[in-house]
Amino acid sequence: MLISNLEMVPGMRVRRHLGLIQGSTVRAKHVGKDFMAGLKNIFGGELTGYTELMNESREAAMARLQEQATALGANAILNVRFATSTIAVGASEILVYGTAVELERMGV
Amino acid sequence: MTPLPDGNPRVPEHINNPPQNALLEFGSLVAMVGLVMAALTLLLVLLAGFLAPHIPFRWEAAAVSDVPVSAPWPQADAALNQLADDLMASMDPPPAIPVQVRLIDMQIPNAFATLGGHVLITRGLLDSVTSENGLAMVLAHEIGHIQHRDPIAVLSRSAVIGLLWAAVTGGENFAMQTLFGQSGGLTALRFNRDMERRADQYALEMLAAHYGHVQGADEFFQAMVAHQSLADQDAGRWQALFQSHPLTRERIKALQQALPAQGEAERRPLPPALHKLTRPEGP
Repeated sequence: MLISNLEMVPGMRVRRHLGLIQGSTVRAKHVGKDFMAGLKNIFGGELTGYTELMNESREAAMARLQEQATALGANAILNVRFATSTIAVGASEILVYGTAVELERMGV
Repeated sequence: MTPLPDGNPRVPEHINNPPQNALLEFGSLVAMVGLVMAALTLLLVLLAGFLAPHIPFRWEAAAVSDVPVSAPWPQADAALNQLADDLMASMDPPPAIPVQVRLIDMQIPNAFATLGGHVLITRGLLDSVTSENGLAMVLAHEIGHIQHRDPIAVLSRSAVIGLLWAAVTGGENFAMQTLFGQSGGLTALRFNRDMERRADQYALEMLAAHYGHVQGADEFFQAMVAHQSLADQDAGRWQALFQSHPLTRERIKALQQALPAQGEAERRPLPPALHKLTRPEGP
Protein backbone atom coordinates (compact mmCIF):
# COMPACT_ATOMS: atom_id res chain seq x y z
CA MET A 1 0.00 0.00 0.00
CA LEU A 2 1.43 3.33 -1.02
CA ILE A 3 0.69 6.07 1.46
CA SER A 4 1.56 9.66 0.68
CA ASN A 5 0.51 13.14 1.58
CA LEU A 6 1.16 14.30 -1.96
CA GLU A 7 -1.90 14.76 -4.09
CA MET A 8 -0.25 13.10 -7.06
CA VAL A 9 2.51 10.54 -7.33
CA PRO A 10 5.09 11.27 -10.04
CA GLY A 11 5.08 8.65 -12.79
CA MET A 12 1.69 7.29 -11.75
CA ARG A 13 -1.82 8.24 -12.55
CA VAL A 14 -5.07 7.69 -10.74
CA ARG A 15 -7.08 5.03 -12.49
CA ARG A 16 -9.91 4.89 -9.97
CA HIS A 17 -10.91 7.31 -7.24
CA LEU A 18 -12.39 5.42 -4.29
CA GLY A 19 -13.21 8.27 -1.95
CA LEU A 20 -12.46 9.50 1.53
CA ILE A 21 -11.24 7.01 4.10
CA GLN A 22 -10.25 7.52 7.72
CA GLY A 23 -8.75 5.72 10.63
CA SER A 24 -9.18 6.87 14.19
CA THR A 25 -8.68 5.70 17.73
CA VAL A 26 -9.29 7.17 21.16
CA ARG A 27 -6.87 6.00 23.83
CA ALA A 28 -5.93 6.57 27.41
CA LYS A 29 -2.93 5.59 29.50
CA HIS A 30 -3.34 3.82 32.80
CA VAL A 31 -3.40 5.81 36.04
CA GLY A 32 0.25 5.03 36.72
CA LYS A 33 1.35 6.87 33.57
CA ASP A 34 -1.03 9.72 34.33
CA PHE A 35 0.48 9.98 37.78
CA MET A 36 4.00 9.99 36.37
CA ALA A 37 3.01 12.68 33.90
CA GLY A 38 1.63 14.70 36.79
CA LEU A 39 5.00 14.48 38.52
CA LYS A 40 6.81 15.44 35.31
CA ASN A 41 4.65 18.55 35.16
CA ILE A 42 6.34 19.76 38.32
CA PHE A 43 9.89 19.40 37.08
CA GLY A 44 9.36 19.70 33.33
CA GLY A 45 10.69 17.43 30.60
CA GLU A 46 9.20 15.10 28.05
CA LEU A 47 6.07 13.29 29.08
CA THR A 48 7.31 10.01 27.67
CA GLY A 49 4.18 8.18 28.73
CA TYR A 50 2.09 10.47 26.55
CA THR A 51 4.57 10.40 23.68
CA GLU A 52 4.19 6.66 23.74
CA LEU A 53 0.41 7.04 23.87
CA MET A 54 0.37 9.22 20.75
CA ASN A 55 2.74 6.87 18.91
CA GLU A 56 0.56 3.87 19.63
CA SER A 57 -2.52 5.83 18.62
CA ARG A 58 -1.00 6.93 15.32
CA GLU A 59 0.02 3.41 14.49
CA ALA A 60 -3.42 2.07 15.31
CA ALA A 61 -5.13 4.82 13.28
CA MET A 62 -2.83 4.19 10.30
CA ALA A 63 -3.54 0.48 10.47
CA ARG A 64 -7.25 1.19 10.35
CA LEU A 65 -6.82 3.61 7.46
CA GLN A 66 -5.01 0.92 5.48
CA GLU A 67 -7.63 -1.61 6.38
CA GLN A 68 -10.31 0.65 4.93
CA ALA A 69 -8.29 1.20 1.76
CA THR A 70 -7.80 -2.52 1.34
CA ALA A 71 -11.51 -3.09 1.83
CA LEU A 72 -12.22 -0.71 -1.06
CA GLY A 73 -9.68 -2.39 -3.31
CA ALA A 74 -7.31 0.60 -3.35
CA ASN A 75 -3.58 0.28 -3.86
CA ALA A 76 -2.67 3.75 -2.60
CA ILE A 77 -3.82 6.44 -0.19
CA LEU A 78 -3.12 9.99 -1.23
CA ASN A 79 -3.25 13.36 0.51
CA VAL A 80 -2.99 11.78 3.95
CA ARG A 81 -3.50 14.15 6.95
CA PHE A 82 -3.35 13.69 10.70
CA ALA A 83 -5.50 15.42 13.27
CA THR A 84 -5.80 15.11 17.02
CA SER A 85 -8.22 16.28 19.64
CA THR A 86 -8.82 15.84 23.34
CA ILE A 87 -11.85 13.69 24.04
CA ALA A 88 -11.65 13.54 27.83
CA VAL A 89 -9.08 14.30 30.51
CA GLY A 90 -6.19 11.96 29.87
CA ALA A 91 -7.67 10.57 26.66
CA SER A 92 -7.12 11.80 23.15
CA GLU A 93 -8.15 10.93 19.63
CA ILE A 94 -5.91 10.53 16.64
CA LEU A 95 -7.62 10.84 13.31
CA VAL A 96 -5.86 10.11 10.04
CA TYR A 97 -7.67 10.58 6.75
CA GLY A 98 -6.86 10.48 3.08
CA THR A 99 -8.15 9.52 -0.31
CA ALA A 100 -8.22 5.92 -1.43
CA VAL A 101 -7.23 5.50 -5.06
CA GLU A 102 -6.14 2.91 -7.50
CA LEU A 103 -2.90 4.02 -9.14
CA GLU A 104 -1.35 2.71 -12.27
CA ARG A 105 1.99 3.39 -13.95
CA MET A 106 1.74 5.94 -16.71
CA GLY A 107 2.02 4.25 -20.05
CA VAL A 108 4.84 5.28 -22.33
CA MET B 1 -9.16 8.00 -19.85
CA THR B 2 -9.78 7.85 -16.13
CA PRO B 3 -13.21 6.56 -15.20
CA LEU B 4 -15.09 8.94 -12.88
CA PRO B 5 -16.23 7.57 -9.58
CA ASP B 6 -19.92 6.95 -9.39
CA GLY B 7 -20.44 7.66 -5.70
CA ASN B 8 -18.09 6.72 -2.90
CA PRO B 9 -17.98 3.02 -2.19
CA ARG B 10 -19.10 1.98 1.28
CA VAL B 11 -16.32 1.50 3.76
CA PRO B 12 -16.87 -1.36 6.24
CA GLU B 13 -18.05 0.19 9.52
CA HIS B 14 -16.27 -2.01 12.00
CA ILE B 15 -12.77 -0.82 11.15
CA ASN B 16 -12.76 2.34 13.25
CA ASN B 17 -15.34 1.01 15.63
CA PRO B 18 -14.55 -2.64 16.30
CA PRO B 19 -17.49 -4.56 17.74
CA GLN B 20 -17.04 -5.64 21.33
CA ASN B 21 -19.15 -7.08 24.07
CA ALA B 22 -19.67 -4.33 26.66
CA LEU B 23 -20.46 -6.86 29.36
CA LEU B 24 -17.33 -8.84 28.59
CA GLU B 25 -15.22 -5.70 28.66
CA PHE B 26 -16.78 -4.62 31.95
CA GLY B 27 -16.14 -8.06 33.37
CA SER B 28 -12.51 -8.11 32.38
CA LEU B 29 -11.93 -4.57 33.67
CA VAL B 30 -13.55 -5.39 37.01
CA ALA B 31 -11.50 -8.58 37.21
CA MET B 32 -8.30 -6.66 36.56
CA VAL B 33 -9.10 -3.98 39.12
CA GLY B 34 -10.04 -6.72 41.58
CA LEU B 35 -6.79 -8.51 41.01
CA VAL B 36 -4.77 -5.36 41.52
CA MET B 37 -6.76 -4.52 44.64
CA ALA B 38 -6.28 -8.00 46.07
CA ALA B 39 -2.54 -7.87 45.45
CA LEU B 40 -2.29 -4.39 46.94
CA THR B 41 -4.37 -5.41 49.96
CA LEU B 42 -2.23 -8.46 50.57
CA LEU B 43 0.94 -6.42 50.29
CA LEU B 44 -0.30 -3.73 52.67
CA VAL B 45 -1.64 -6.28 55.15
CA LEU B 46 1.69 -8.06 55.24
CA LEU B 47 3.48 -4.75 55.56
CA ALA B 48 1.17 -3.62 58.37
CA GLY B 49 1.63 -6.90 60.23
CA PHE B 50 5.37 -6.58 59.85
CA LEU B 51 5.62 -2.93 60.87
CA ALA B 52 2.95 -2.73 63.58
CA PRO B 53 5.03 -4.40 66.32
CA HIS B 54 7.63 -1.70 65.78
CA ILE B 55 5.22 1.13 66.53
CA PRO B 56 6.37 2.57 69.87
CA PHE B 57 4.06 1.40 72.63
CA ARG B 58 3.65 4.92 74.05
CA TRP B 59 2.05 6.03 70.76
CA GLU B 60 -0.42 3.22 71.10
CA ALA B 61 -1.05 4.07 74.75
CA ALA B 62 -1.56 7.74 73.86
CA ALA B 63 -4.14 6.83 71.22
CA VAL B 64 -6.27 5.10 73.84
CA SER B 65 -5.72 7.01 77.04
CA ASP B 66 -8.14 4.98 79.11
CA VAL B 67 -10.65 2.20 78.76
CA PRO B 68 -14.00 3.93 78.95
CA VAL B 69 -15.70 1.13 80.81
CA SER B 70 -16.93 1.55 84.34
CA ALA B 71 -15.07 -0.37 87.03
CA PRO B 72 -17.73 -2.03 89.15
CA TRP B 73 -15.31 -4.07 91.26
CA PRO B 74 -12.15 -2.13 92.21
CA GLN B 75 -10.97 -4.86 94.60
CA ALA B 76 -11.31 -7.52 91.96
CA ASP B 77 -9.42 -5.30 89.51
CA ALA B 78 -6.65 -4.91 92.05
CA ALA B 79 -6.48 -8.68 92.55
CA LEU B 80 -6.39 -9.28 88.78
CA ASN B 81 -3.67 -6.68 88.25
CA GLN B 82 -1.69 -8.20 91.12
CA LEU B 83 -1.95 -11.61 89.47
CA ALA B 84 -0.90 -10.15 86.10
CA ASP B 85 2.06 -8.38 87.69
CA ASP B 86 3.12 -11.57 89.50
CA LEU B 87 2.87 -13.57 86.29
CA MET B 88 4.92 -11.05 84.36
CA ALA B 89 7.50 -10.71 87.12
CA SER B 90 8.14 -14.46 87.00
CA MET B 91 9.30 -14.24 83.40
CA ASP B 92 12.98 -13.70 82.78
CA PRO B 93 13.38 -11.03 81.53
CA PRO B 94 10.00 -9.57 82.55
CA PRO B 95 7.85 -8.36 79.61
CA ALA B 96 8.50 -4.78 78.59
CA ILE B 97 4.93 -3.61 78.06
CA PRO B 98 2.85 -2.80 81.13
CA VAL B 99 -0.55 -4.46 81.27
CA GLN B 100 -3.71 -3.15 82.90
CA VAL B 101 -6.48 -5.60 83.70
CA ARG B 102 -10.09 -4.75 84.34
CA LEU B 103 -13.06 -6.90 85.24
CA ILE B 104 -16.18 -6.00 83.30
CA ASP B 105 -19.78 -6.91 83.93
CA MET B 106 -20.58 -9.32 81.13
CA GLN B 107 -22.00 -12.80 81.50
CA ILE B 108 -20.42 -14.20 78.34
CA PRO B 109 -17.18 -15.79 79.54
CA ASN B 110 -14.44 -14.09 77.57
CA ALA B 111 -11.28 -12.07 77.78
CA PHE B 112 -9.97 -9.41 75.44
CA ALA B 113 -6.60 -7.88 74.86
CA THR B 114 -6.89 -4.46 73.30
CA LEU B 115 -4.83 -1.37 72.55
CA GLY B 116 -2.78 0.36 75.19
CA GLY B 117 -1.97 -2.82 77.09
CA HIS B 118 -5.52 -3.21 78.36
CA VAL B 119 -6.88 -6.63 79.19
CA LEU B 120 -10.57 -7.01 79.86
CA ILE B 121 -11.89 -10.03 81.72
CA THR B 122 -15.60 -10.67 81.86
CA ARG B 123 -17.30 -11.63 85.06
CA GLY B 124 -18.65 -14.71 83.33
CA LEU B 125 -15.12 -15.95 82.89
CA LEU B 126 -14.64 -16.13 86.64
CA ASP B 127 -17.49 -18.65 86.73
CA SER B 128 -15.77 -20.78 84.10
CA VAL B 129 -12.60 -21.39 86.07
CA THR B 130 -12.22 -23.14 89.41
CA SER B 131 -8.68 -22.17 90.31
CA GLU B 132 -6.29 -19.28 90.07
CA ASN B 133 -4.26 -21.36 87.63
CA GLY B 134 -7.12 -21.55 85.16
CA LEU B 135 -7.60 -17.79 85.38
CA ALA B 136 -3.86 -17.20 85.13
CA MET B 137 -3.78 -19.14 81.85
CA VAL B 138 -6.37 -16.85 80.30
CA LEU B 139 -4.68 -13.78 81.72
CA ALA B 140 -1.25 -14.92 80.53
CA HIS B 141 -2.70 -15.64 77.09
CA GLU B 142 -3.99 -12.07 76.84
CA ILE B 143 -0.70 -10.73 78.21
CA GLY B 144 0.94 -12.73 75.44
CA HIS B 145 -1.19 -10.94 72.83
CA ILE B 146 -0.15 -7.62 74.28
CA GLN B 147 3.54 -8.47 74.50
CA HIS B 148 3.44 -9.63 70.88
CA ARG B 149 1.69 -6.37 69.92
CA ASP B 150 -1.17 -8.33 68.38
CA PRO B 151 -3.88 -5.69 68.99
CA ILE B 152 -1.98 -2.97 67.13
CA ALA B 153 -1.12 -5.44 64.36
CA VAL B 154 -4.78 -6.35 63.91
CA LEU B 155 -5.84 -2.73 64.09
CA SER B 156 -3.25 -1.62 61.53
CA ARG B 157 -4.36 -4.41 59.26
CA SER B 158 -8.01 -3.37 59.39
CA ALA B 159 -7.10 0.29 59.13
CA VAL B 160 -5.00 -0.33 56.03
CA ILE B 161 -7.76 -2.32 54.38
CA GLY B 162 -10.35 0.26 55.36
CA LEU B 163 -8.30 3.13 54.01
CA LEU B 164 -7.46 1.31 50.80
CA TRP B 165 -11.05 0.50 50.04
CA ALA B 166 -12.18 3.97 51.04
CA ALA B 167 -9.60 5.37 48.62
CA VAL B 168 -10.74 3.11 45.80
CA THR B 169 -14.46 3.48 46.33
CA GLY B 170 -14.04 7.18 47.04
CA GLY B 171 -16.06 6.68 50.20
CA GLU B 172 -15.94 8.72 53.35
CA ASN B 173 -12.74 8.16 55.20
CA PHE B 174 -14.21 7.10 58.49
CA ALA B 175 -12.52 3.71 58.69
CA MET B 176 -9.76 5.08 60.89
CA GLN B 177 -12.13 6.97 63.15
CA THR B 178 -14.40 4.00 63.57
CA LEU B 179 -11.51 1.74 64.44
CA PHE B 180 -9.97 4.12 66.94
CA GLY B 181 -13.35 5.01 68.30
CA GLN B 182 -14.18 1.42 69.09
CA SER B 183 -10.79 0.21 70.11
CA GLY B 184 -10.99 1.83 73.51
CA GLY B 185 -14.15 -0.06 74.28
CA LEU B 186 -15.09 -3.65 74.00
CA THR B 187 -14.02 -4.32 70.46
CA ALA B 188 -13.09 -7.98 70.38
CA LEU B 189 -10.17 -7.83 68.01
CA ARG B 190 -10.02 -10.85 65.80
CA PHE B 191 -6.61 -12.37 66.18
CA ASN B 192 -5.55 -14.89 63.62
CA ARG B 193 -4.69 -18.49 64.40
CA ASP B 194 -0.97 -17.95 64.48
CA MET B 195 -1.42 -15.16 66.99
CA GLU B 196 -3.61 -17.40 69.15
CA ARG B 197 -1.14 -20.28 69.07
CA ARG B 198 1.76 -17.99 69.86
CA ALA B 199 -0.15 -16.45 72.77
CA ASP B 200 -1.03 -19.93 74.09
CA GLN B 201 2.61 -20.96 73.93
CA TYR B 202 3.63 -17.78 75.67
CA ALA B 203 0.99 -18.34 78.37
CA LEU B 204 2.21 -21.88 79.02
CA GLU B 205 5.75 -20.61 79.46
CA MET B 206 4.50 -17.93 81.81
CA LEU B 207 2.50 -20.42 83.87
CA ALA B 208 5.45 -22.78 84.08
CA ALA B 209 7.67 -19.91 85.22
CA HIS B 210 5.20 -18.72 87.83
CA TYR B 211 3.77 -21.93 89.30
CA GLY B 212 6.44 -24.40 88.30
CA HIS B 213 3.82 -26.42 86.42
CA VAL B 214 0.99 -25.82 83.97
CA GLN B 215 -1.80 -27.71 85.73
CA GLY B 216 -5.15 -26.02 85.19
CA ALA B 217 -4.10 -24.40 81.95
CA ASP B 218 -6.94 -26.07 80.10
CA GLU B 219 -9.60 -25.32 82.71
CA PHE B 220 -11.22 -22.48 80.85
CA PHE B 221 -11.19 -24.26 77.51
CA GLN B 222 -12.60 -27.43 79.02
CA ALA B 223 -15.42 -25.35 80.48
CA MET B 224 -16.04 -23.92 77.02
CA VAL B 225 -16.26 -27.34 75.43
CA ALA B 226 -18.55 -28.52 78.22
CA HIS B 227 -20.82 -25.69 77.18
CA GLN B 228 -20.68 -26.52 73.54
CA SER B 229 -23.89 -28.50 73.83
CA LEU B 230 -25.32 -25.36 75.40
CA ALA B 231 -24.12 -23.49 72.38
CA ASP B 232 -26.56 -25.39 70.24
CA GLN B 233 -29.53 -24.49 72.42
CA ASP B 234 -28.43 -21.02 73.31
CA ALA B 235 -26.60 -19.90 70.20
CA GLY B 236 -26.86 -16.19 70.85
CA ARG B 237 -25.07 -16.32 74.14
CA TRP B 238 -22.16 -18.48 73.12
CA GLN B 239 -21.81 -17.45 69.54
CA ALA B 240 -19.58 -14.49 70.23
CA LEU B 241 -17.23 -16.62 72.24
CA PHE B 242 -16.82 -19.35 69.68
CA GLN B 243 -16.37 -16.83 66.94
CA SER B 244 -13.50 -15.09 68.64
CA HIS B 245 -11.96 -18.36 69.77
CA PRO B 246 -12.64 -20.71 66.88
CA LEU B 247 -10.03 -23.26 67.81
CA THR B 248 -11.10 -24.30 71.29
CA ARG B 249 -10.76 -28.03 70.70
CA GLU B 250 -7.50 -27.75 68.84
CA ARG B 251 -6.12 -25.57 71.60
CA ILE B 252 -7.14 -28.03 74.31
CA LYS B 253 -5.33 -30.76 72.44
CA ALA B 254 -2.21 -28.62 72.24
CA LEU B 255 -2.47 -27.72 75.92
CA GLN B 256 -2.96 -31.31 76.97
CA GLN B 257 0.17 -32.31 75.13
CA ALA B 258 2.00 -29.94 77.45
CA LEU B 259 0.17 -31.19 80.56
CA PRO B 260 1.04 -34.88 81.19
CA ALA B 261 4.75 -34.27 81.55
CA GLN B 262 4.02 -32.04 84.51
CA GLY B 263 2.20 -34.63 86.61
CA GLU B 264 -0.47 -33.72 89.15
CA ALA B 265 0.33 -30.58 91.06
CA GLU B 266 -1.56 -28.35 93.40
CA ARG B 267 -3.80 -25.65 91.97
CA ARG B 268 -4.26 -22.46 93.88
CA PRO B 269 -7.74 -21.23 94.75
CA LEU B 270 -9.00 -18.02 93.22
CA PRO B 271 -8.00 -14.89 95.15
CA PRO B 272 -10.77 -13.98 97.67
CA ALA B 273 -11.71 -10.73 95.92
CA LEU B 274 -12.42 -12.72 92.77
CA HIS B 275 -13.88 -15.80 94.39
CA LYS B 276 -16.70 -13.90 96.01
CA LEU B 277 -17.79 -12.63 92.59
CA THR B 278 -18.34 -16.11 91.22
CA ARG B 279 -21.87 -17.36 91.29
CA PRO B 280 -22.27 -20.04 93.98
CA GLU B 281 -24.50 -22.22 91.81
CA GLY B 282 -21.98 -22.18 88.97
CA PRO B 283 -22.67 -21.37 85.32
